Amino acid sequence: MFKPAVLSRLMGIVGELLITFGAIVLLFLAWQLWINNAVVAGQQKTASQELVQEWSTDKDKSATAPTSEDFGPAPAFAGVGEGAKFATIYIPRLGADSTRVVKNSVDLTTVLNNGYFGHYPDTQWPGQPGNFAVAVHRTNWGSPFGDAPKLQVGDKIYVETVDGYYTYAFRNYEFVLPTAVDVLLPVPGTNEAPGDQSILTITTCNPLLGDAERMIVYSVLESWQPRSAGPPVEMAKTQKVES
Amino acid sequence: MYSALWRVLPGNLWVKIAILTAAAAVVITVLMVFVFPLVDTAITVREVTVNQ
Repeated sequence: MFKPAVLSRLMGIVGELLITFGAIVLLFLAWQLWINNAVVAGQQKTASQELVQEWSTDKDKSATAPTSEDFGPAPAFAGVGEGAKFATIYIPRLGADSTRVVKNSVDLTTVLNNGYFGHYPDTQWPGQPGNFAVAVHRTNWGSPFGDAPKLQVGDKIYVETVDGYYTYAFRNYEFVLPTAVDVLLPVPGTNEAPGDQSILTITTCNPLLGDAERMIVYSVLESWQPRSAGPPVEMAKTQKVES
Repeated sequence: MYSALWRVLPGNLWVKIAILTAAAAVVITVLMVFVFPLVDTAITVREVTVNQ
């Protein structure tokens, strides 16, 4: 039906289109794995610095509390509306650039895909007895939690809010199915009352680059210090304060 | 397709290379800024939350 010359030219065009499409797919992979990752991580860095700047008062710029000082039980955070930024989380084991902002929502496209930790709105707040549960991506979208399996028992996880600094200590992992909502209970996995214990529960995907399961990271609230006492020493290192 | 594009471009070799480089930069920028985020949202849904 076509003359051979026309056919070969047509096939040439089809071939060039396919090669172009292949190149675009490779470009997309590079964007997803590295470029967008770096862009989102950078946005998180700026967002967390802005938040800390917003909270800071003049007098706490120089203060750093002696580590031995005990400020008593942590006050419960007052709470914020759905979708609002209200805290930062810093995990030294995952690197000096691991600070991320926490929003009060677990929406995938607007919160988690922008590198934020998302707080399950129905769970408790930092310092409140019970379970402060958040979700976060493990890889891509800023890779906020990629090195999570490197955590060791007792590793500190710092949560900063407008009130002050909550220090949690990593306790254990759990691997569950995506339907295991009992990890969000005030005492994860049981119907018991929490007493005065505060837990930080982080849910993320498992296996790496898949989401057939969830990896759950539990930490226990260890201590608290008010904003006026300044950040914990390890956290202060990541927050450059202009004098 | 690309050979026809090459023929219709004006100028000598270096002008053509300059035009194509600029065009490639524009195309890649548009892809990365507008197209890829949409594609990503549509095809890569990786759930990290627990729900029923």
